[in-house]
Amino acid sequence: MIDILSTGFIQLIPAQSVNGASGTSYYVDTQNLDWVRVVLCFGAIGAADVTSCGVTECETYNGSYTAITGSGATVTQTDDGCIVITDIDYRGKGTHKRFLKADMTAGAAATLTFAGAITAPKVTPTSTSNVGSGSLAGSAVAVKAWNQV
Amino acid sequence: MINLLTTQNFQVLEPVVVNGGTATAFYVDTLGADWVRIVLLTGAIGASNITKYIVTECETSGGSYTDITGSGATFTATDDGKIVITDVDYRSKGTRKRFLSVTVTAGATDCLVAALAMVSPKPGTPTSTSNVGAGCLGGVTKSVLAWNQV
Repeated sequence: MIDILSTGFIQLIPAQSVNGASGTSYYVDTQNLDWVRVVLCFGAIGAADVTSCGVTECETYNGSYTAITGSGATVTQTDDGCIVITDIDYRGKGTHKRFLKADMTAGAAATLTFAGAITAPKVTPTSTSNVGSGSLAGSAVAVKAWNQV
Repeated sequence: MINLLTTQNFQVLEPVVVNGGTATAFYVDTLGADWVRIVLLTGAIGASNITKYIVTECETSGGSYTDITGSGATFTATDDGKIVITDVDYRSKGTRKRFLSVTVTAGATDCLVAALAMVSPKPGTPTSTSNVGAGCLGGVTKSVLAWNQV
């Protein structure tokens, strides 16, 4: 069991409109993580299918990322508002690489998208400084506020 | 302890450009849930800024939603790419209403925003795309296209 109250959240692809290109993704350093859920979300998709989407991995943060087999989906121009979820289990598997990114390449039409990673760390977050940035590298900004109501 | 592996994910607000108005958000039905985390994500924020962000609640799905005190954040035009996390605890509190949504209002320049909800737990562990993200969401026409476990 992984306690959701100990998870963090990282923006991989900030909300953006992409047209005929790939959304720029930050990366997650999965060192010391047990589990990661990458959620790739779409808003309005223009009149062109999404060329590719999924999760990529690499042993170094700035190396050449390769697609994780089975992490993608076929997203068409009629799939407005859809979500693609990929769970990556690091507990004892040893089959995945250390750094993760989200991949989203739009066809030649404006596509609204974002991607986030829900991370299960070994240390429980206690503040904005670690609920969203504890294992994130490559991001200039992170958590604006963390409210508990 | 609330098990992350039994959570469901919903788009409360699909990625959208807001300019001089309030974004149209969906709602989450929290009946049977112990806990909800709502994450607002910003992309590029225009010079006129996000003038309001807050989580709202209502006893009925189509009623008049009211702000949850302490659930929002104040933005500036330089807050591109930020996230705001709001945890709503339903365990024995009894102070929260059944339906949750969000209000995002922007000034007269483009602001890219989106919001994701994590709901845990609904009865039973999700087993497919039909319940990992669609079980308690109302007002949405599309939900989970794929759920990959790698």
